[in-house]
Amino acid sequence: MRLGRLKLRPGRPIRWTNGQTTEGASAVPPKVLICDNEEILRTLVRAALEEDGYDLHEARDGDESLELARRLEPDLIVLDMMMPGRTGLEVLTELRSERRFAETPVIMLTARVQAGDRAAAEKAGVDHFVSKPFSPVELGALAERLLAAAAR
Amino acid sequence: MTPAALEELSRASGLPLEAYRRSHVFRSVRRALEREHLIDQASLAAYLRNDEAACSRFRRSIAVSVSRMFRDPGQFELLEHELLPLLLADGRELTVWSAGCADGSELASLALLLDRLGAIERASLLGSDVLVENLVAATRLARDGSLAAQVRSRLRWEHRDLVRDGAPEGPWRLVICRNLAIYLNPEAKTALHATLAGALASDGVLLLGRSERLSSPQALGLERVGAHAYRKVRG
Repeated sequence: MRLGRLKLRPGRPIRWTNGQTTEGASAVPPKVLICDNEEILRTLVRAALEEDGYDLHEARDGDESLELARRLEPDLIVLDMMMPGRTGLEVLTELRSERRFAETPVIMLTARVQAGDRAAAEKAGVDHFVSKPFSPVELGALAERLLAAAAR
Repeated sequence: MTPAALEELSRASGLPLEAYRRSHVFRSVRRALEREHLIDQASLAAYLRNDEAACSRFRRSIAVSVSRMFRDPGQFELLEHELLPLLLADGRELTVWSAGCADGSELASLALLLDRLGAIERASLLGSDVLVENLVAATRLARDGSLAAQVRSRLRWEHRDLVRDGAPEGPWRLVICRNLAIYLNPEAKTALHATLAGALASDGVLLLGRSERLSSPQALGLERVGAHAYRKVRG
């Protein structure tokens, strides 16, 4: 399944790469939760992913990240590592302890990280690291790849 | 305009207005008053706080968002025939920082040029700007399918106020800062040039706009290598 260049809009048929369409069925775009305390970063992540038609949501700190994750059950989480208060790592550890989030793909946004932090994040269940400032193309491609793998 | 009024307006707009040339700020304020149908300067700050669109218009008029490299063939040729061959000759990675990248089209056109020269695979390009709306436009440009994927994937953007934040961690082998300093007051301009020179790697190149030049490149450890281009002398 390839979601990359498709614009998923409610009620609009989707044409998959094999030529089939979802005409008649109502397509639900994948939900993506963007967790970062910096508004500018959230805006740029949103701008990088908006073309792909995902259902985008934003959380401004660790607590809100947990709350929205539990309410929305997103298909992908883009998580800033260094949020004040509850860090991205703590959010992830808590989510992974719940069975429904055991497999949810997570992209961790990082500034320069120490090798130790990275190892801890990997242990906590990060699928991919993307360092800031990020390449919008690479972030978009990675989101697409992780969502496609999760849908299989 | 009193210093207090200027500071108030800086806070309302989120831009360090004290760093810009006074005449440029006055002109932008006068235009904003006309455009928004306001009577006096005092009401402008309050107005900008309450009207996001008006605030965005004001910010754009201060931090002028024009990228003219496409329309400046002379500088593009200088890059293609002199500066880039110089930088690419040793086969090393080419790190490029576009300081005040506006909507990113200048850096994207440079990426296209590097692709044409067969060097895009070893290039890393960062554009920074103080206006978020510019960075959103740049992000959309990078995601837009009209450029080849190997070109677009090299582009990164970040929010940076050059006056307050200084340079991103480098060192950078090519720094492009065109037509930003012309809007700054003399002190801020001097500080900006020092920031740009300080961010350069040894032998790195700084390219300024066509109407810009450094008053004393030697003091910054630079030597002239073109009409508006300077190279960092090996330290």
